[in-house]
Amino acid sequence: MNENYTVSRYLISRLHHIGIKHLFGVPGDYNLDFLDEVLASPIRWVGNCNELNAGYAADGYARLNGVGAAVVTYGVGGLSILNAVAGAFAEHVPVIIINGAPPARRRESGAMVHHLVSNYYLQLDIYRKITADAALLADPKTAPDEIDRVIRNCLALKLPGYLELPADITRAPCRAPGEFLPAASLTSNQESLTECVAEVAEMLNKAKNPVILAGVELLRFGLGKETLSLVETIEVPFATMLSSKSVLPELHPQFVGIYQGGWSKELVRRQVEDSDCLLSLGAWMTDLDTGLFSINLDARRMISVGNGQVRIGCHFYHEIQLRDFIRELAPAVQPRSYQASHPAGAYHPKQHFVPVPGCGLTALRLYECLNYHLDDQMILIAEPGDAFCAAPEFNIEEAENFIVQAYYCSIGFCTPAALGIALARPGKRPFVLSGDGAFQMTAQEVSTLIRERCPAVIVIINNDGYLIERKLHQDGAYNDIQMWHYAKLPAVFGDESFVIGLRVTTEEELEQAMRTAVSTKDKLVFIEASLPNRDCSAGLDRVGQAFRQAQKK
Amino acid sequence: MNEVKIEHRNERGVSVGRIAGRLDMQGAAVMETYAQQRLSAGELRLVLDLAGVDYISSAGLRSLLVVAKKVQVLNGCLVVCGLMPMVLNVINISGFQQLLKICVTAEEAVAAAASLPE
Repeated sequence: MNENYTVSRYLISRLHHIGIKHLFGVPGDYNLDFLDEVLASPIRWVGNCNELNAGYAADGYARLNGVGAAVVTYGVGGLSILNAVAGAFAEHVPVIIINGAPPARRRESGAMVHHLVSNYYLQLDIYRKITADAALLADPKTAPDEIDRVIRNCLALKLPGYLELPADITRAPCRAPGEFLPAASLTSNQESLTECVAEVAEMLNKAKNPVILAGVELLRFGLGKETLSLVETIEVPFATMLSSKSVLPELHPQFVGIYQGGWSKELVRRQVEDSDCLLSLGAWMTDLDTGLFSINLDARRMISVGNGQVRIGCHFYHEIQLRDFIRELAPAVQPRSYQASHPAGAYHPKQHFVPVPGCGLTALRLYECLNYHLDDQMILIAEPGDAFCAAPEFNIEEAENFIVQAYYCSIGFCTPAALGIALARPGKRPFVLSGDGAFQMTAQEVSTLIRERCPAVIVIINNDGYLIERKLHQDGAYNDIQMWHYAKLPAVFGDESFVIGLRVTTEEELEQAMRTAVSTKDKLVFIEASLPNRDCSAGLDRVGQAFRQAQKK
Repeated sequence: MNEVKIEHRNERGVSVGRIAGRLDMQGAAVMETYAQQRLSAGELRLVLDLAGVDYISSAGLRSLLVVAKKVQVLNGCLVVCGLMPMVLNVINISGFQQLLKICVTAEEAVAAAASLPE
């Protein structure tokens, strides 16, 4: 890239600098000049089937890469991607949206141009509510500073950012990029940190059975390694939650299990809730992470770290960042021995899956088989629905091999997210576990997975409609969907030499299909697992019962 | 500071690492590096003799599991032996004895590793 910077080149340079190697999105006439510059840059363009899918792909990419970005066009694109951006905002995923807009002179004259809804500031106003920062790049003189500010806030707060780029500004000359300075706001108050760490260390040293609850903020702020080091230094057992599953390796002597309040395994629930010092690191107490608020945690015996503060009992320390807290706590605590401080339950290895000849497939056996075949090179992406209700019991042995949108729960997230995940981690293989209803939302993104040669494994749990809705509430015709020939779809979408589509109805067929998936590492393997009688996991049954009881109250 | 020391020898086509010291976070890193070097050299039959290890932490145990997985991926074999009571107790409490091939003596471990198919 030469030194003659335009606003487009400046923005692309910054995106590349912060680690973006792929840009997702959909072309439109207001962003074509910008996309010409993208094609000429080191950043690879990955076109999607629609903007919502582009947003999910950028979200999946950002969860592993640290940041993602998508390009859309005004109105029809900018509003289509909103749901994905809202999800990223709710879940603290830094995704930068670049929205190509009508030329500034049209805005100034108030011209009625295509894709305009009501006024030229509508989208900017909307995005301001669901981003860390948003800017309309109307002036090439100020655009570089605005780009830097939005990106800086996006990265610092782990939230989406929004840049509206008028078509006539894209090629406008601007200054060259200087040094990119990270945000200064997210540092700890050292005095507060020192006092807080001393108090927490004393509590941990006095405790008989401390436990660490490793939450989702650790994932978002990339603090897995630091937390693992803390666990291993002070020798305290840890539990995770659905949203933070696999933030630390589950094949670890200090792994207690997944804590979900009353939905937890009894041994896990008791160890967490009976702890005389529970150190909660970045945990969000959402409905699905707490077993629909069925937690029984005593705030007097709990230290909650997250969102820039620490709560101990009824008092708070402010201006404390998770990273600083973890770093300073590790050397301040007296290490225990494993014999004195370990999980209540011993490790149980995965059970070998042996198919019963002639036996029809059930949900229980489906999940047992999938769990058995998952390996360290796969990243499981569990869709809201039966998939993420069954997933807590899966053995995800190594860190960062599991992704779920457990808070915003937008069905259809996983298939497009797999595209971003595959491109962010080319050495690994996305493994999508999705229900048929969710899959129908964003199914066409399988074609992009094929085009980009992403050798994903996609398992569709065909349970004939919106099964989770059937379980949460009395059933109705609104939960029915058209039955597709799912296993034939990959061939319809593209290159048959790269895809294998299989439909399984028995345990033997499933086992054979999974063996094919595991051994065929260079192809996209698509498995339709047909379940009878709307069968589901024990986890979904439990969720359904809890929601129905809550509705009666 | 009780630094981990590893004495290496080859016996009957088996790489034997005799480890002495504490298998804590620092010791675990030393052991993992040693095992990785052996595997990188194509030595896929590995014995880790822990007779000189008087303390193991969760980090040390996790490292044993990591090595065991790396060996498995390469279709090699790993045998651990010479476990002091404290070390054996930690492994048994954790339940990870189910994932490790354990022998009492180094002689037994070498014999087992030499006879196991790669």
